[in-house]
Amino acid sequence: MMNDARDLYVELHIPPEWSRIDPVRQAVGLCVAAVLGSEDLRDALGMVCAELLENAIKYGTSDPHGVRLVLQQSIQGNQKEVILSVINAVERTSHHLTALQQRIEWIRSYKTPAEAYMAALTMVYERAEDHGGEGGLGLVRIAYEGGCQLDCDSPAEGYMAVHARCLVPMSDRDLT
Amino acid sequence: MSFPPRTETRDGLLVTVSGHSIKFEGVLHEQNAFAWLYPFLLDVHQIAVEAAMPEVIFDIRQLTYANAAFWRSFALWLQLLKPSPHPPYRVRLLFNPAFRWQKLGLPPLARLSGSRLVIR
Repeated sequence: MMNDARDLYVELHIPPEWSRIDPVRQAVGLCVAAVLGSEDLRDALGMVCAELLENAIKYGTSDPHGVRLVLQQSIQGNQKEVILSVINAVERTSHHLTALQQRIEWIRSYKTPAEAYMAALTMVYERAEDHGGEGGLGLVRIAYEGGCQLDCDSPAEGYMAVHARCLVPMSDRDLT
Repeated sequence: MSFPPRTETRDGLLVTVSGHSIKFEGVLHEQNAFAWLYPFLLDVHQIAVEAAMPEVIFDIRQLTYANAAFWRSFALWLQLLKPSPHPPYRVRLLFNPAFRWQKLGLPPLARLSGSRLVIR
Protein backbone atom coordinates (compact mmCIF):
# COMPACT_ATOMS: atom_id res chain seq x y z
CA MET A 1 0.00 0.00 0.00
CA MET A 2 1.24 3.47 -0.86
CA ASN A 3 1.72 5.83 2.04
CA ASP A 4 0.29 9.30 1.62
CA ALA A 5 2.35 12.40 2.25
CA ARG A 6 1.28 12.63 5.88
CA ASP A 7 2.42 9.15 6.80
CA LEU A 8 5.47 8.41 8.84
CA TYR A 9 7.68 5.42 8.17
CA VAL A 10 11.35 5.30 9.07
CA GLU A 11 13.45 2.16 9.29
CA LEU A 12 17.06 2.16 10.42
CA HIS A 13 19.62 -0.59 10.96
CA ILE A 14 22.10 0.61 13.52
CA PRO A 15 25.44 -0.88 14.54
CA PRO A 16 25.14 -1.87 18.20
CA GLU A 17 27.50 0.84 19.40
CA TRP A 18 26.67 3.17 22.25
CA SER A 19 27.92 6.21 20.34
CA ARG A 20 25.14 5.71 17.74
CA ILE A 21 22.33 6.18 20.26
CA ASP A 22 22.36 9.95 20.60
CA PRO A 23 22.43 10.76 16.86
CA VAL A 24 19.51 8.36 16.38
CA ARG A 25 17.63 9.96 19.30
CA GLN A 26 18.00 13.33 17.63
CA ALA A 27 17.12 11.99 14.17
CA VAL A 28 13.96 10.25 15.41
CA GLY A 29 12.94 13.41 17.26
CA LEU A 30 13.42 15.52 14.16
CA CYS A 31 11.42 13.09 11.97
CA VAL A 32 8.58 13.19 14.48
CA ALA A 33 8.69 17.00 14.61
CA ALA A 34 8.78 17.22 10.81
CA VAL A 35 5.77 14.96 10.23
CA LEU A 36 3.66 15.52 13.34
CA GLY A 37 4.67 19.10 14.13
CA SER A 38 4.88 18.60 17.88
CA GLU A 39 7.89 19.51 20.02
CA ASP A 40 6.49 17.51 22.91
CA LEU A 41 6.28 14.36 20.78
CA ARG A 42 9.73 15.09 19.37
CA ASP A 43 11.24 15.05 22.86
CA ALA A 44 9.08 12.17 24.07
CA LEU A 45 9.83 9.80 21.19
CA GLY A 46 13.48 10.83 21.06
CA MET A 47 13.81 9.77 24.70
CA VAL A 48 11.84 6.56 24.08
CA CYS A 49 14.14 5.70 21.18
CA ALA A 50 17.28 6.30 23.28
CA GLU A 51 16.05 4.20 26.21
CA LEU A 52 15.03 1.30 23.94
CA LEU A 53 18.33 1.39 22.07
CA GLU A 54 20.26 1.44 25.35
CA ASN A 55 18.45 -1.74 26.39
CA ALA A 56 18.98 -3.38 22.99
CA ILE A 57 22.71 -2.67 23.05
CA LYS A 58 23.15 -3.61 26.73
CA TYR A 59 21.28 -6.89 26.60
CA GLY A 60 21.47 -7.86 22.93
CA THR A 61 23.98 -9.98 21.11
CA SER A 62 25.93 -9.34 17.93
CA ASP A 63 24.03 -9.54 14.67
CA PRO A 64 25.23 -8.63 11.16
CA HIS A 65 21.97 -6.72 10.65
CA GLY A 66 22.58 -4.57 13.72
CA VAL A 67 19.71 -3.21 15.80
CA ARG A 68 16.59 -2.48 13.73
CA LEU A 69 14.47 0.54 14.57
CA VAL A 70 11.09 1.20 12.97
CA LEU A 71 9.10 4.37 13.50
CA GLN A 72 5.64 4.40 11.94
CA GLN A 73 2.15 5.70 12.38
CA SER A 74 -1.26 4.25 11.72
CA ILE A 75 -4.79 5.58 12.04
CA GLN A 76 -6.86 4.24 14.94
CA GLY A 77 -10.38 5.66 14.71
CA ASN A 78 -10.07 9.40 15.11
CA GLN A 79 -6.54 9.18 16.47
CA LYS A 80 -3.13 8.46 15.06
CA GLU A 81 -1.00 5.82 16.70
CA VAL A 82 2.74 6.29 16.53
CA ILE A 83 4.70 3.08 17.08
CA LEU A 84 8.41 2.94 17.73
CA SER A 85 9.83 -0.59 17.62
CA VAL A 86 13.35 -1.75 18.39
CA ILE A 87 14.29 -5.26 17.30
CA ASN A 88 17.55 -6.90 18.27
CA ALA A 89 19.20 -10.29 18.44
CA VAL A 90 19.49 -11.96 21.84
CA GLU A 91 21.27 -15.07 23.04
CA ARG A 92 18.94 -18.03 22.76
CA THR A 93 19.41 -18.65 26.49
CA SER A 94 18.77 -15.02 27.42
CA HIS A 95 16.13 -14.32 30.06
CA HIS A 96 15.90 -10.69 29.02
CA LEU A 97 12.59 -11.03 27.17
CA THR A 98 10.96 -12.64 30.21
CA ALA A 99 12.41 -9.97 32.51
CA LEU A 100 11.13 -7.28 30.19
CA GLN A 101 7.64 -8.79 30.04
CA GLN A 102 7.58 -8.92 33.84
CA ARG A 103 8.65 -5.29 34.08
CA ILE A 104 5.96 -4.23 31.60
CA GLU A 105 3.34 -6.16 33.61
CA TRP A 106 4.61 -4.41 36.74
CA ILE A 107 4.13 -1.01 35.08
CA ARG A 108 0.62 -1.99 33.97
CA SER A 109 -0.28 -3.04 37.50
CA TYR A 110 -0.44 0.66 38.43
CA LYS A 111 -3.45 2.81 37.63
CA THR A 112 -1.34 5.33 35.75
CA PRO A 113 2.22 5.49 34.37
CA ALA A 114 2.82 8.41 36.76
CA GLU A 115 2.08 6.14 39.72
CA ALA A 116 4.38 3.45 38.34
CA TYR A 117 7.15 6.00 37.85
CA MET A 118 6.72 7.30 41.39
CA ALA A 119 6.92 3.74 42.72
CA ALA A 120 10.06 2.99 40.71
CA LEU A 121 11.73 6.21 41.81
CA THR A 122 10.81 5.51 45.43
CA MET A 123 12.48 2.10 45.14
CA VAL A 124 15.64 3.75 43.86
CA TYR A 125 15.42 6.41 46.56
CA GLU A 126 15.01 3.80 49.26
CA ARG A 127 17.85 1.80 47.69
CA ALA A 128 15.39 -1.03 47.23
CA GLU A 129 15.77 -1.39 43.48
CA ASP A 130 16.45 -4.88 42.21
CA HIS A 131 16.01 -4.42 38.49
CA GLY A 132 19.64 -3.88 37.52
CA GLY A 133 20.55 -1.26 34.92
CA GLU A 134 19.31 2.11 36.03
CA GLY A 135 17.12 0.70 38.76
CA GLY A 136 14.49 -0.19 36.17
CA LEU A 137 13.80 3.51 35.56
CA GLY A 138 14.36 3.37 31.79
CA LEU A 139 11.23 1.41 30.87
CA VAL A 140 8.95 3.13 33.34
CA ARG A 141 10.26 6.44 32.06
CA ILE A 142 9.05 5.45 28.57
CA ALA A 143 5.58 4.94 29.98
CA TYR A 144 5.53 8.10 32.11
CA GLU A 145 7.68 10.73 30.41
CA GLY A 146 7.17 9.26 26.96
CA GLY A 147 3.43 8.68 27.33
CA CYS A 148 3.79 5.32 25.56
CA GLN A 149 2.28 1.92 26.11
CA LEU A 150 4.88 -0.84 25.98
CA ASP A 151 4.81 -4.40 24.84
CA CYS A 152 7.39 -6.89 23.69
CA ASP A 153 7.56 -10.16 21.78
CA SER A 154 9.88 -12.45 19.91
CA PRO A 155 9.36 -12.02 16.15
CA ALA A 156 11.74 -14.91 15.38
CA GLU A 157 13.90 -17.29 17.36
CA GLY A 158 16.88 -15.42 18.77
CA TYR A 159 15.26 -12.01 18.30
CA MET A 160 13.21 -9.75 20.50
CA ALA A 161 11.16 -6.68 19.72
CA VAL A 162 9.99 -3.94 22.03
CA HIS A 163 7.18 -1.68 20.84
CA ALA A 164 6.29 1.69 22.32
CA ARG A 165 2.93 3.08 21.17
CA CYS A 166 1.40 6.46 21.73
CA LEU A 167 -1.86 7.93 20.55
CA VAL A 168 -1.90 11.35 18.97
CA PRO A 169 -5.19 13.22 18.41
CA MET A 170 -5.92 14.01 14.77
CA SER A 171 -5.54 17.65 13.87
CA ASP A 172 -8.10 19.49 11.71
CA ARG A 173 -5.63 19.18 8.86
CA ASP A 174 -5.55 15.38 9.23
CA LEU A 175 -9.31 15.23 8.99
CA THR A 176 -9.61 17.22 5.76
CA MET B 1 34.82 27.26 51.74
CA SER B 2 33.73 26.45 48.21
CA PHE B 3 34.03 23.51 45.84
CA PRO B 4 37.48 23.32 44.27
CA PRO B 5 36.82 24.85 40.82
CA ARG B 6 37.08 22.50 37.88
CA THR B 7 35.76 21.86 34.41
CA GLU B 8 35.38 18.42 32.91
CA THR B 9 34.21 17.31 29.49
CA ARG B 10 32.66 13.88 29.08
CA ASP B 11 31.28 12.68 25.75
CA GLY B 12 28.90 15.54 25.02
CA LEU B 13 28.62 16.74 28.61
CA LEU B 14 30.37 19.76 30.11
CA VAL B 15 30.59 19.73 33.91
CA THR B 16 31.58 22.97 35.65
CA VAL B 17 32.10 23.17 39.40
CA SER B 18 32.67 26.50 41.12
CA GLY B 19 31.66 28.28 44.32
CA HIS B 20 28.65 26.38 45.67
CA SER B 21 27.48 25.41 42.20
CA ILE B 22 27.57 22.49 39.81
CA LYS B 23 26.54 23.05 36.22
CA PHE B 24 25.79 20.38 33.61
CA GLU B 25 25.52 21.39 29.95
CA GLY B 26 24.98 19.31 26.83
CA VAL B 27 23.84 15.71 26.81
CA LEU B 28 24.35 13.00 29.43
CA HIS B 29 24.15 9.73 27.53
CA GLU B 30 27.25 7.77 28.45
CA GLN B 31 27.12 4.04 28.95
CA ASN B 32 27.45 3.31 32.67
CA ALA B 33 27.07 7.02 33.47
CA PHE B 34 26.03 6.00 37.00
CA ALA B 35 29.54 4.63 37.58
CA TRP B 36 31.05 8.13 37.51
CA LEU B 37 28.04 10.33 38.26
CA TYR B 38 27.07 8.86 41.60
CA PRO B 39 30.66 8.98 42.99
CA PHE B 40 30.89 12.55 41.65
CA LEU B 41 27.76 13.50 43.60
CA LEU B 42 29.05 11.68 46.67
CA ASP B 43 32.16 13.89 46.53
CA VAL B 44 29.95 16.96 46.19
CA HIS B 45 28.00 15.81 49.24
CA GLN B 46 31.11 15.25 51.37
CA ILE B 47 32.63 18.61 50.49
CA ALA B 48 29.32 20.41 51.09
CA VAL B 49 28.98 18.79 54.52
CA GLU B 50 32.60 19.46 55.53
CA ALA B 51 32.33 23.08 54.38
CA ALA B 52 28.95 23.50 56.13
CA MET B 53 27.43 24.89 52.94
CA PRO B 54 23.80 25.88 53.48
CA GLU B 55 22.96 25.20 49.86
CA VAL B 56 24.34 23.55 46.74
CA ILE B 57 23.15 24.93 43.42
CA PHE B 58 22.69 22.35 40.67
CA ASP B 59 22.17 24.01 37.29
CA ILE B 60 20.78 21.76 34.55
CA ARG B 61 19.17 24.49 32.45
CA GLN B 62 21.38 23.67 29.51
CA LEU B 63 21.32 19.91 29.91
CA THR B 64 19.24 19.09 26.86
CA TYR B 65 18.89 15.36 27.52
CA ALA B 66 19.93 12.81 30.13
CA ASN B 67 19.40 9.08 30.31
CA ALA B 68 17.94 7.28 33.32
CA ALA B 69 21.34 7.19 35.07
CA PHE B 70 20.85 10.88 35.81
CA TRP B 71 17.60 10.33 37.72
CA ARG B 72 18.99 7.34 39.59
CA SER B 73 22.13 9.22 40.67
CA PHE B 74 20.21 12.36 41.57
CA ALA B 75 17.67 10.41 43.65
CA LEU B 76 20.46 8.66 45.56
CA TRP B 77 22.21 11.99 46.19
CA LEU B 78 19.03 13.42 47.70
CA GLN B 79 18.63 10.23 49.68
CA LEU B 80 21.94 11.02 51.44
CA LEU B 81 20.20 14.05 52.96
CA LYS B 82 17.27 12.02 54.22
CA PRO B 83 18.40 10.48 57.52
CA SER B 84 18.75 13.77 59.36
CA PRO B 85 15.66 15.78 60.37
CA HIS B 86 17.78 18.86 59.67
CA PRO B 87 19.68 18.11 56.46
CA PRO B 88 23.18 19.63 56.38
CA TYR B 89 22.33 21.56 53.20
CA ARG B 90 19.63 21.80 50.59
CA VAL B 91 19.91 21.42 46.84
CA ARG B 92 18.64 24.29 44.72
CA LEU B 93 17.95 23.00 41.25
CA LEU B 94 17.87 25.39 38.33
CA PHE B 95 15.93 23.71 35.55
CA ASN B 96 14.52 24.47 32.13
CA PRO B 97 10.82 23.65 31.65
CA ALA B 98 11.28 23.79 27.88
CA PHE B 99 12.87 20.34 28.15
CA ARG B 100 10.12 17.78 28.54
CA TRP B 101 12.39 15.30 30.34
CA GLN B 102 13.09 17.90 33.04
CA LYS B 103 9.53 19.24 33.24
CA LEU B 104 8.05 15.76 33.80
CA GLY B 105 10.95 14.17 35.64
CA LEU B 106 11.40 16.70 38.42
CA PRO B 107 7.99 16.77 40.17
CA PRO B 108 8.18 13.12 41.33
CA LEU B 109 11.67 13.71 42.69
CA ALA B 110 10.56 16.89 44.45
CA ARG B 111 7.68 14.94 46.03
CA LEU B 112 10.10 12.37 47.42
CA SER B 113 12.71 14.75 48.73
CA GLY B 114 10.54 17.43 50.33
CA SER B 115 12.35 20.53 51.54
CA ARG B 116 15.75 19.09 50.73
CA LEU B 117 15.20 20.04 47.08
CA VAL B 118 14.21 23.51 45.95
CA ILE B 119 13.30 23.78 42.28
CA ARG B 120 13.60 27.05 40.38
